[in-house]
Amino acid sequence: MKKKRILTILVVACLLVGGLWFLQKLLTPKYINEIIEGRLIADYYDNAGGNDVVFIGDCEVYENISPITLWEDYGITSYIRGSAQQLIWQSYYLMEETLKYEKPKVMVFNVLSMKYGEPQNEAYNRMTLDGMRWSDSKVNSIKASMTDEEEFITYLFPLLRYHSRWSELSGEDFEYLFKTKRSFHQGYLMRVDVRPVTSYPSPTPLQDYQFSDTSYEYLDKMVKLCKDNGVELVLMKAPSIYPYWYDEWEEQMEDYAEKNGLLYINFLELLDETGIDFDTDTYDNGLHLNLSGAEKLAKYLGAELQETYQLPDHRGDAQVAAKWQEKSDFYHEMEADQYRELEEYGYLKSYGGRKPAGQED
Amino acid sequence: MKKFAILFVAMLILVGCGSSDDKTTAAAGTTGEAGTTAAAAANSGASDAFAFQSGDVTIAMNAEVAPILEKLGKEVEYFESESCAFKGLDKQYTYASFILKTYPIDGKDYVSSIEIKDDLVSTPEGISIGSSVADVTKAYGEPATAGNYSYTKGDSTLIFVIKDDAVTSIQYTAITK
Repeated sequence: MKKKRILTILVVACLLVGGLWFLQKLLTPKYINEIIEGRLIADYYDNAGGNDVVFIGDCEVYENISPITLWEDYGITSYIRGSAQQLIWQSYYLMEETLKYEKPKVMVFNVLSMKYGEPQNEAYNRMTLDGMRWSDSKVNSIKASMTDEEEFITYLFPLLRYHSRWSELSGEDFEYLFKTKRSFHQGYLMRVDVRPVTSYPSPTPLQDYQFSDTSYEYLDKMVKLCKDNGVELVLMKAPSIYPYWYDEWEEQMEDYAEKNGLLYINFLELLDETGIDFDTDTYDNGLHLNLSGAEKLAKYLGAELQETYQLPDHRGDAQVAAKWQEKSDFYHEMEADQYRELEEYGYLKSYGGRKPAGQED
Repeated sequence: MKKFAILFVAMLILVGCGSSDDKTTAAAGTTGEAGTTAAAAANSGASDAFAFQSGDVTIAMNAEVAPILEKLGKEVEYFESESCAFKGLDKQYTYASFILKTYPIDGKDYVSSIEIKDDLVSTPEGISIGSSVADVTKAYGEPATAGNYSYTKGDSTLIFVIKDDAVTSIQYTAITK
């Protein structure tokens, strides 16, 4: 009788935990067809290992650099660990986590996030943090990132955060309950459409141009982390013309790079050298590059990294080449499909594009 | 089995307990609008936020912008940019003496900031470009942090950029966490 009771309790407990786990899976956002950037961080784990270069940062990395071009032109293996509005402490903990999976020769950090010295927005936090696998890096990143309104337990049990999504569930929540969709190219988010820069907002004057102590604290930690692990740290500023990159910020970055013996590349100052043309190489008025721009940037950066750090050309390694050939094929298939959609619909219907003026809903 | 049924029903109640208020905040990472929590601010905070006055048009932070734009008339210049990762556009309307910026939520735009550009307009409290630090502290009090002329009211901040003891820029900003 007693055994039967214990067994019943165990069965009920298992069913309860299983039910809650299932509901959590169901209610957690899948980011399949909209805001697909929410899947970027989790996408890494299937591609971890064997990357000579890892890029870390916000949308200025995952929309502006083509790892496939780095492979095809230089035989450089790379991955972009980027996410929307990735804050500098999130970048640091992603670096730390990445080093548990692999030891790249170079890590490239995009410095725009130096402008943020404190937590910003839960929606962006979720897109970086929810996709990370559990580790001390994730725990510390959550703690550093939470806004006043957030609670740690909702990251531990996302069901507590998303339980009210039941009324918003759509077909994709069921279809992608136990699988995901392939959308990225080593962390790169492709867009082939063009929306040129036509006007340019004047920069808003700031009260204080000095980067915060917190930003410098995490940049120092990145320098130490890379040094301790024998990884070369490179700082870059992507050629996005908006949000505005102030001269005062540029001076601070140049000084920091010089004092710490780091290579710092500001692509805003290399438009002639890279050949980036804001009439043809951006899909959103200069915020991000399109495929053409991302490939131009990769061609320049690949040459720079290979020359400076003598990165090996892996194209002669049959095993690595076979793996990357499959990645290249997927890349060029998506490229062709995006051009087909542009031709057919006038905009990227399945890839988050905006309908042309006059055709909006 | 009866116990399991009771527990499962309790679980479903727990999961489905999200009231409409709860849904507003919980949706931040799901529907994806840049800070759905800002929607709450947009609905409730506008009356308890700093407001800029342009003629007879009151522009409060987090207020829905459509009726304001209608009253302001045609802007001098317009700029738009896609919100990083989120649906919708951040928009910027430049008028003669100020710039109005908006953020999108659920297909509607709300006031995210106002930047005063010249001394032809002033805040309702009488501060304009060129006013002295003494004028600012007289109108708004001493700032919480010495030298940082930033004031908070409801879901908004009002910032005065100071150079050589004079106001060089005035910025109203919505707080949208």
